[in-house]
Amino acid sequence: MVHKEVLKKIKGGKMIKIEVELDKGRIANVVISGDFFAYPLGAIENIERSLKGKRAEKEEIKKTIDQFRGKCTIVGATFDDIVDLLAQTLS
Amino acid sequence: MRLLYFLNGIPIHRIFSIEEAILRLKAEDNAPDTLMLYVMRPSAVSIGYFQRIKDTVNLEVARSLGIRVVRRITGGGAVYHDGNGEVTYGLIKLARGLLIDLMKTYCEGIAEAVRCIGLEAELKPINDIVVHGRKVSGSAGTIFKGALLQHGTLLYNTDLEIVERLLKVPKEKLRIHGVKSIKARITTLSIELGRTVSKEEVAEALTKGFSKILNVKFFKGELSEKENKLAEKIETKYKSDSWNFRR
Repeated sequence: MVHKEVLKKIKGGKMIKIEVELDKGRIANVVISGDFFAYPLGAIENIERSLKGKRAEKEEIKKTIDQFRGKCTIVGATFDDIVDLLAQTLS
Repeated sequence: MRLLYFLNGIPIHRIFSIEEAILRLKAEDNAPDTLMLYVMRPSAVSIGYFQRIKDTVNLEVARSLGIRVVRRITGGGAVYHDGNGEVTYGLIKLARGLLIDLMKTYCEGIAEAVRCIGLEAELKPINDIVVHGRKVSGSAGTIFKGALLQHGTLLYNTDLEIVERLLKVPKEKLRIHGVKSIKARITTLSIELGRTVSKEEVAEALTKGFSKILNVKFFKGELSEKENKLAEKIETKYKSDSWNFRR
């Protein structure tokens, strides 16, 4: 199991930290933390859960996260920020 | 609009459960629009819903000072709620619009309060109020089934030494704000005015500020039986490690 993390202050936005546990090229666990805002309650947890077991590749991550656009509102970061940061942890 | 005062001090887990109870009932149209003004006693730390507790709070310091750390249901950053230096507001009403716009609108209520006290205040999006370039107030919010909970701080005499010891802020954040410590970034109304401001004065100013921004008259109210009962049920969560340490 490999642990990777990245921390970034989003320009004009908030702090966001992404921690990923990788196992044989797949995401075993992911935690998205920081001082951003997001609603409805539980939406970020749903994104984290849906990433589990996915191949650690940007396209696959993007496809997974894209499903939540319109279902969850994030303030202080964007969906693209999350995809980019996740991709960064994998590179 | 109903106004609830808890200025003599209320424990953090109790006040957060009251806020959440009103929010949940508001979403079912079973609670009135409400502004709460409260002082947390004993002093406590609240952290944002998405924050990693260990990245955010120096837990050893918190433990040694007997300060409870509680996770909010709203996002945002960590706050030290000084029982002798900070008034918190909580606003619950129907959410007409996006959180980012609502927060901006209602943060003006705090800016108005600061002006009422005699200082120039500026809203620094997303959620800060600054005086002479330093933060005196931060807000957080969430929308639950169409109802808004927005709450935030107003630092009138907070012990900034304790804030510095208690809270951890990533170096990158300090660098972006062009400061070396948390203390250099925040201030209090008392420091800025050069006199000791009282919590009563702050509460009065916040009441006026929100009255102006919301265009409402306040009446002092009480919690309903429904709100009290639900709050009692919710309180266990805010006392539990499974909630507070979930991230």
